[in-house]
Amino acid sequence: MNETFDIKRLGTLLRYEIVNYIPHFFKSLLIFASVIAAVWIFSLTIDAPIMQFGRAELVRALFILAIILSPFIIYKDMNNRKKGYIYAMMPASTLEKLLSMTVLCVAIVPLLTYAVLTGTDLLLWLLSKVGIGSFLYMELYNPFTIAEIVDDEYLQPHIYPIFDSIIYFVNLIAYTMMFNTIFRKNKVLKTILFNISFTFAFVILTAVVANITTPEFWEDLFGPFVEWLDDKTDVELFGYLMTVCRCLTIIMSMVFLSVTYFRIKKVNY
Amino acid sequence: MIEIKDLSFAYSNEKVLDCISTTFEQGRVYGLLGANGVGKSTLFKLLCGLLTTRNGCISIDGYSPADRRPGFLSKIFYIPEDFEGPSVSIKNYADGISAFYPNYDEGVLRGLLNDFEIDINRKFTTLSLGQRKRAILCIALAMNTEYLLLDEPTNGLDIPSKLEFRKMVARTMDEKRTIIISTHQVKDVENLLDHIMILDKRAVLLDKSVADIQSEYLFEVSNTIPQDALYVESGLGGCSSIRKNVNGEESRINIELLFNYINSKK
Repeated sequence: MNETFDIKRLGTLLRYEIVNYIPHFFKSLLIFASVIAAVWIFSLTIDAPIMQFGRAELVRALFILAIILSPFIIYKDMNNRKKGYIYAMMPASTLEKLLSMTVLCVAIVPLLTYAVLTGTDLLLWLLSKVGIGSFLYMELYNPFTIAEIVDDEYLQPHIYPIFDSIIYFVNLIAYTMMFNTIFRKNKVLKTILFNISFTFAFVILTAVVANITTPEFWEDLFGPFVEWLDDKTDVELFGYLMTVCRCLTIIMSMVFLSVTYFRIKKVNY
Repeated sequence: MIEIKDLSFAYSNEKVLDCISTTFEQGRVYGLLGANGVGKSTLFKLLCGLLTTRNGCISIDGYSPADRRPGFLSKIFYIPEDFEGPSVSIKNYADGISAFYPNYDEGVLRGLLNDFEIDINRKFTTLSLGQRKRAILCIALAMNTEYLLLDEPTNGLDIPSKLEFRKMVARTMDEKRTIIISTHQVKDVENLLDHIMILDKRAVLLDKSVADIQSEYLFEVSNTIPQDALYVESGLGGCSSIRKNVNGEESRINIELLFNYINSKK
């Protein structure tokens, strides 16, 4: 028996998690769908139908919120001292558990969420056909949005819409998956507080460093680098910036997934 | 076979197990007894890999439980005392996990659930504590794992269910299987046990087969206290006593009395 990875075992685990966890997540999705319905009803009562752009933004915001929360909802009990033993004792390796979690959160949950939210919008559109110009599906999570925002023809070659969307998306999910495995209780609240604390600490630290150092210190430290940058065009600089962002995003995702792996492997109950 | 060597464990600064060594052999039903807080549940969690050993080692068929390898996890099934169950039906849960357990027998599951009068399509969340325990017991026995760890399995069961539980365990027991039952309700399981282990924080106080205990001690109930009694408890029915079994007489083990006797010697 291969104790580290077996594709059949991964498939079995994935099927188990879909059958056992997705119905529970689906109930949460209905709450998100009801928000769309509530906004739609409200817009009808005040006789101010929401236009296509507003609908798309609402669905997009709910979509992002749902997928951010999805690891906390689906794997809520995975490190619970009482209930988590079922997950821990599932006869699959840590790698298979991590992969199954990743596939579920990165692929299956977003597809399901997309289908439910846009399906709700479609249903409401069919019911009312008020203030709607066209079908909504194409307006939503569109990876080309980034390319459209940066519409400079010289900068366009440095943007890979689909690749960039995927790595940022995976990074976001990996980040929430990690915090779901780190915290045992009040996971969402603790994650938010951690982010606020981290940002606050970072700002304070930056301010302190800026205060205790002199401009000459930074010139000495980064002088050659600044000179090197001065030789580059704006388009080249933009290309470098995008590459650095991509590399950092991929490295951070790997770190988040590694922490998740070791938490799954080592968590005590 | 489960081998435990010099096992110690502590929660923060509270030591629970201290240098415990023992073995659990195949084909036996072990009764794990001990006062509250001596570490019975902790020992179960260590055996399942839910806790990590800090000092000493545990080996189960060559596996270290803390590694949580799939080959090991498919050999063992653990039911905690306060089993809550997932929020799915018994059938969905059993179907979902059955692919991981090569010896799973759906016929056994349906038969056991039928004996316990539990509908396979009911969700765990709609069952009472006793029903949930009965349902997970049926699943555990149907998975046919080599090691089955039951923490207080009869807590929450009504009287007919306790009888049914004994029958179920006896029916599904075979020479390849090891069942370890931790309980305070010794009367519920005393007819099932092949081996009794009495645990204390500092040591294993008793680790003997039922046959060895019966050949060593004589358990009696009489109106007078025997002169050579090792331990006596007086009650309404007379004096329950333990004596050395010098003549090789047969007697039925009174586990509660034995437990109190062993603990009194500490």
